[in-house]
Amino acid sequence: MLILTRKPDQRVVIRGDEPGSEIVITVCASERSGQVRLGITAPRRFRIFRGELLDEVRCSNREAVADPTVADLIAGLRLGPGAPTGAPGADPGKEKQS
Amino acid sequence: MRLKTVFDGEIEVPDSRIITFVSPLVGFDHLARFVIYQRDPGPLFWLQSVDDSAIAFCVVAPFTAGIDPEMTIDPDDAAAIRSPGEDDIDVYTLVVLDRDLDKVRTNLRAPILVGRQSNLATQVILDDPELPICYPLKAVLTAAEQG
Repeated sequence: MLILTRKPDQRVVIRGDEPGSEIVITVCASERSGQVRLGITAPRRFRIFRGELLDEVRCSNREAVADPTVADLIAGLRLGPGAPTGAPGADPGKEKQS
Repeated sequence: MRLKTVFDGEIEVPDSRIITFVSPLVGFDHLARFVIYQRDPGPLFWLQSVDDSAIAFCVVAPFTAGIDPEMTIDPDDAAAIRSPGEDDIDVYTLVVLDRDLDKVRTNLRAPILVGRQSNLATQVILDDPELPICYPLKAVLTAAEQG
């Protein structure tokens, strides 16, 4: 990991090879509590997240990998007769296996 | 194509049903192509990986399952899956199954958007902290079972 020491108002610039791939991180303030405020500008195609949220989603995604032993569980849930069928409009249920 | 699935053996799926993630499911960067199908009508579907037959997720379509979360689709996300907008987009959320029905839950914070015309998909992470990562599904599934 590259570690840089910066003061408030100083910036770090990350540049990719393609044109328009520049990310600028500005240290806005560091507070006595130990928190640091950062300002970030990046092209729209870059999504910016707090790392913990991304970690939470990653963890939740991993948990969602269906374990083959739950097949009977799903059968137990009977996939809900009487519930709306298919996805909104697309009705993927219709053309499953043939 | 013949598709190997975790839960239904080999099934025949028209190529037109394969969806491709333009930005991958977080933590599953190597898996781009999936098929969403269901065996029985109801709120739950399988999201089966085409690239790794051992990976399948259970997903729910929250808007047809009656969860109706308050989420809006960002035009940038619609554009990313080359979709004209909301009316063309199917929304699914990942379900964590559990033998204890009280623990079956879905992540409303990070929905999967699928463009119907483009067959492109993305998992978005919404800014709204009100959307629970662990939304309990018991009520929805129980209601579905009772019809």
